[in-house]
Amino acid sequence: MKRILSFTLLFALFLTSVASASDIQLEVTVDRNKIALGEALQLNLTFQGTQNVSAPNIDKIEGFDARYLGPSTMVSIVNGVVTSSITHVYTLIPIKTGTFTLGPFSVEAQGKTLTSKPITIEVVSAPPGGQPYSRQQTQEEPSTTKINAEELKDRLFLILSAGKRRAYLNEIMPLTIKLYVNRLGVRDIQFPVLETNDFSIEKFGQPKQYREEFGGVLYDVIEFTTDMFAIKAGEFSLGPAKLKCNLVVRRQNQRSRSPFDDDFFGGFFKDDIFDDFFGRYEAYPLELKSAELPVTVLPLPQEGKPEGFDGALGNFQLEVEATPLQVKAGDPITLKMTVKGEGNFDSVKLPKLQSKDGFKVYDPQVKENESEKIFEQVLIPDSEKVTHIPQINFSFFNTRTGHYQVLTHEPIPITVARAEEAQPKLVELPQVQLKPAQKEELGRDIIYLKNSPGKFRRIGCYLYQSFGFWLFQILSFVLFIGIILFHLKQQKLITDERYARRLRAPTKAKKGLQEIGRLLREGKTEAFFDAVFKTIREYLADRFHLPCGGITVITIEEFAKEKGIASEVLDKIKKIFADCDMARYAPAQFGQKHLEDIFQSLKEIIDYLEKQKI
Amino acid sequence: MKAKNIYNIFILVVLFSALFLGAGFALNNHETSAFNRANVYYEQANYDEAIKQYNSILEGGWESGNLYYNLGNCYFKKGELGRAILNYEKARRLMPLDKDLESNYEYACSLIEGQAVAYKKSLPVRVLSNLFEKFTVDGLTILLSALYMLILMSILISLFFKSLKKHALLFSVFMGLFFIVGFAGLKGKISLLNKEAIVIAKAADAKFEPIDKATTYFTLYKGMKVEIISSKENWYKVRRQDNKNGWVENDTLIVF
Repeated sequence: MKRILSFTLLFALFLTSVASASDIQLEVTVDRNKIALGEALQLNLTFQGTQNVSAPNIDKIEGFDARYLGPSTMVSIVNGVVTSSITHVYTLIPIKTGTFTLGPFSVEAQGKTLTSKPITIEVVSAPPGGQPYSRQQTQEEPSTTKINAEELKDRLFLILSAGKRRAYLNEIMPLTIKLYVNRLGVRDIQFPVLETNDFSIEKFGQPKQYREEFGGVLYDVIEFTTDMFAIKAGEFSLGPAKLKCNLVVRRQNQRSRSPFDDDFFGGFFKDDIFDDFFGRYEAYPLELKSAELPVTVLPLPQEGKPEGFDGALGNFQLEVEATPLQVKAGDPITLKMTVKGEGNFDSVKLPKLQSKDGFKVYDPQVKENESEKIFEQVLIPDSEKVTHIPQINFSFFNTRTGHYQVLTHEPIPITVARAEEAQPKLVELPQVQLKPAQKEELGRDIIYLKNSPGKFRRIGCYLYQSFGFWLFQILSFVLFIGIILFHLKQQKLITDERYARRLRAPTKAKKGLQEIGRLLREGKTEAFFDAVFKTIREYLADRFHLPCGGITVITIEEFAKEKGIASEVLDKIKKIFADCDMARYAPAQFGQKHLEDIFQSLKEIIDYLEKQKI
Repeated sequence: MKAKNIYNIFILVVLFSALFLGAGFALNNHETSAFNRANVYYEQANYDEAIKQYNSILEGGWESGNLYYNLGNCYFKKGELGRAILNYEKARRLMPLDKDLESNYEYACSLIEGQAVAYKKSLPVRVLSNLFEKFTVDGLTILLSALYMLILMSILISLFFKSLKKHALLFSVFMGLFFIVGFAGLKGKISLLNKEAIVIAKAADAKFEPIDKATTYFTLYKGMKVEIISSKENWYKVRRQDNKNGWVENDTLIVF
């Protein structure tokens, strides 16, 4: 029992709706209005606007055994408005079958007598195989495992309704689709679909959600509304509206609980709470269908149809405003025509000017707001003779009265001044621009003489025939070759040491000889011999690409044989070496004559070796 | 050593350039006054006298682009289309980039009788011939000489500057290609000297054989340009622009 109580409290809390703070209201609801014997019915008495009402005594209800379960209170703050309510919850257990009426209940609260609507309950005998007490266990659950198709229809259904059953062609009528849900878990509700070729239905807006009592049972309602209008005349049946959603149902294979299980707490706590939320519920896709709705669409009557009727339907007013009222001819006047009211604004067309004489009329700019349509039209008076804007007519079919109606706006007086001089110029401009488009006829003749003779040149003399030109080319080429040869020689000097030494030898020898000559004239005998020895040794080393220290009489002799040097030259070399050796010990024994001979023979040796190709 | 060599090259180049410039430079007081006189005659619409004055300059062995241009104008005004085109053609050889000349030449050519004959050449040939039309013989000669110098220089650079070797050689190869193309162009231009002719007779029949009674192959009209292939007695074998050959009497043409 405690469990039921707790669920009831929660549920009552959940159900309590927002009420006005000023008045106390009584609302009586049951959780179902068809019940089998042995099942329990929940009766809620909700007092809106107060919490200070004690539980009314409703012991004596025909056909039922009533038990008071307890109160549940609720305080809600919506947009800063505090509302409070108290719900007294009773359990009714039917005693016999039949149709019974609950209430009307009259309760005294705070000096007022509140009376509820009566509720009709049908009690049937228990379904075969039904488990009377199992209902008690499941009835408070948001979803159940045992819902048969019959019950489901009562607890989850779709109602299609239109604002009117009889409408004129193109007349706007509201369309409402309501989804009623009683204590069922429903999710993934999609927008309803209405398949029809006879009506133009706009998109559904955001659905409204509220609670509604229907046949004494409280339902959660999701209401989809939109507008529609018929596009054909005749008798149609609208719908059925279809809506797809998922029904959340407890899984069938749950552990069956014995109705006689007294171990209430054990049973309660044995259930894994997580299992409850994530494991035991399944979503079953459902497609709900509403009943069809017969709608009669009347054509617009032909009689009394005014001239210039454009098919506007509804109940409208016309407002006209023109600015400015004083203009010059050729200046624009803005005519603002506002059609207000209710009806199908898609069918509202531009109100008609009775005549357009004397005006240049441009296409209107159209703005559509909620319950008004604004046309802004530019009129340009042609001349100063125009005195007023003509009468404006707007005709529509009044769907309330079923008659045509013509709205007329009287001519608006305007003052048009003569246009200024500048205006014709504006008109002329495009003509001026047109002229260049014509093809220009150009004259054709030869261009006039040259004033200066330019550069004179000899007839038949070309540069390629001139000697100087070719000389220049040839000299360039010679120079080019010369530079290349020089470059190659430089390269050889760097890379080929033998060649470089061979090339260096005579230059060095020449310098040595000059030095020797000077020493000879000065009579410096010792220095003379040193220089002679140095010169000949270095020259021979460079000339034959030998190491300088390795130059001795013996190596020279061997080398001379190899290269075929004349023996007299070899003798001279030997003699010089020998003299140089001698001079180190007894330099005084050499006379001037002797020194000159040595110098001479050194020159001869170098000359000979330079000329010789070795 | 290197710097000295480069300096020497520079001196040489300057000297030779100066030599060429000097060679072309001459004061032609006599010719200039004749030219001015002729212009005055032209203004008085005395074309015969103007032509006489202009021709006196030519007889003296001097020519210039402007001279031929003015002479062409004189003949044009006189109504001698053939000689007008002939002189414009001569002027074109000396100043191919002159806009006035181009305009007058085109106008004169548009007045030639008979259908314009054109032979469709392949694209590269057309591009090259258009390119070489913009050069005079001397201009092309100088250009080739400059290319030749550039090639020699870039080879030297590749020898002395190892780091630039690759680029310099590539450059010289390119210059070499240009040189070859330019040389071919120059050769073509030179081969046309004194080988082109303009028809000055009102109409000239090109025949299959150099005989009066031979069958006429095609007719040339005053102002048309042909190429002389060979000659025999008083006949020229000519090639029209569409590569058709025929024999034409030599007094109907003037070779230039």
